[in-house]
Amino acid sequence: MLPSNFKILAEYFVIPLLVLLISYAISGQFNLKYSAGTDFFIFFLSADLGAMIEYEDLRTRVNPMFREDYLAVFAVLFTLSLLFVVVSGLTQRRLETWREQNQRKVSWRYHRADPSAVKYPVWGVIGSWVATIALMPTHLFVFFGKG
Amino acid sequence: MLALFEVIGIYFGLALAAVYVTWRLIGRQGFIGLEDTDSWLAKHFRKSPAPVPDHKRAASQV
Repeated sequence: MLPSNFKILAEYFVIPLLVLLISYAISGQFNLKYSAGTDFFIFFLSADLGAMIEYEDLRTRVNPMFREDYLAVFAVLFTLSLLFVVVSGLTQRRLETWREQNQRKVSWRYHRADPSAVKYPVWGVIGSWVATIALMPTHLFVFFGKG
Repeated sequence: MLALFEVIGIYFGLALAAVYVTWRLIGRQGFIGLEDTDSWLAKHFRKSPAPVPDHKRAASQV
């Protein structure tokens, strides 16, 4: 059921994830609640755009598995990254509004039955983090993998 | 091209599992913020202070 190169795929998945978790642990911040990971998608988007622009130069240096469909592969990755830049950007905007609203709760002017109350964008945050954790190894595998 | 979709599918599946495990492991609250993580750690790992005997509590209130 699993592909023959699953072990290699898993390595590309586990290593960046561990590095990410360790960096969060070292800096002592577990602020996943307050971030939709927009920075990651901007980085992925620019990497894909760069790969498409440097077509001639990079074509021979990416994973041999994807050399034949080089442009199509990066077009798909570019589209995914662009989609998640938008999704995570909108989620971040809602997060900021939600945080601002939470800070206002301590104010005497706050009314609990405020109709403009913003809910925490839980699905947006989960979706953004799932996409971040998935697109990180995908890009690494496409750029540096060996089939 | 199919290989790319296979790779993306596998990684999205693994990422979903990783986020779910993180969520369950650290707890819903822990996943979502420093102060919540602190309260979660306090609840699960730090011992609550020993109860103060009645005569000491009464003395401290004087």
